[in-house]
Amino acid sequence: MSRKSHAMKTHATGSRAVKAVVLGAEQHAEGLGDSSSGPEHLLLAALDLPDGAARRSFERISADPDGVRDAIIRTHEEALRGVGIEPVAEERLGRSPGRGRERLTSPAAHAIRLAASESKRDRTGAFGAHIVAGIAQLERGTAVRALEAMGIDRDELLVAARVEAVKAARRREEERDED
Amino acid sequence: MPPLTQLPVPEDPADALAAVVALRRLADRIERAAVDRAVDEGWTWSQVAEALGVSKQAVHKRHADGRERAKRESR
Repeated sequence: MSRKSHAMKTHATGSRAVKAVVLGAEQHAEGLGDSSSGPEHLLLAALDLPDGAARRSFERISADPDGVRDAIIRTHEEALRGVGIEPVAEERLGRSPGRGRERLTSPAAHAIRLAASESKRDRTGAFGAHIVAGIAQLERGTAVRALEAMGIDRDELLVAARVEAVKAARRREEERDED
Repeated sequence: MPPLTQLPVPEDPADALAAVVALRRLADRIERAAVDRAVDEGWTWSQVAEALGVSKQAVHKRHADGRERAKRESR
């Protein structure tokens, strides 16, 4: 495959993955009862991507990707306790449907831009790992606090995500060669 | 829960702002559920707006459009 067509293919894979992550983030936002999609929802959506590179970024530093959602919930609960409010039980809040306006917050858009520059830098097309790398570069907010609550060092997570992006690309190349 | 005047406010701004985020999400959820119940009980959008202390346009933008979309999608 020529260099140009490979780059185009990678780009095409990338934009499909961007859509999947944004759509998945909306669903996670709705599921958590949030009215907009933040970096924490992008992270959950990245962990759902089938290539598994985002999940492996966590596993690489011995962190449990399945623990992220709970850590996000716990982060909000702890923040409420910080002002003397015990978290309200889900069932007491009732299940009111979202308003279908779970737009990206500005920090989420920033995380996607960071992920896009990761994507441009390594050209691996492993967008899930790029999202993890993007979020690992944020300094504040719910996603960052949730990662801290999990005892995750964001610099280590960034390195792990970059390694896993390259490994995901290599795995794809090998699969292509086998075909 | 202690009386409101005794509620602690975290000194660290990062903790205080995280509390604001959590309070906003809680307020949002209580608002959505209460608006749904009010409308189901026959309140007009003007009455909902008055109770929330906002304009009818604001309440429409925030709730009515999304409710109608959700209803259409669930059909």
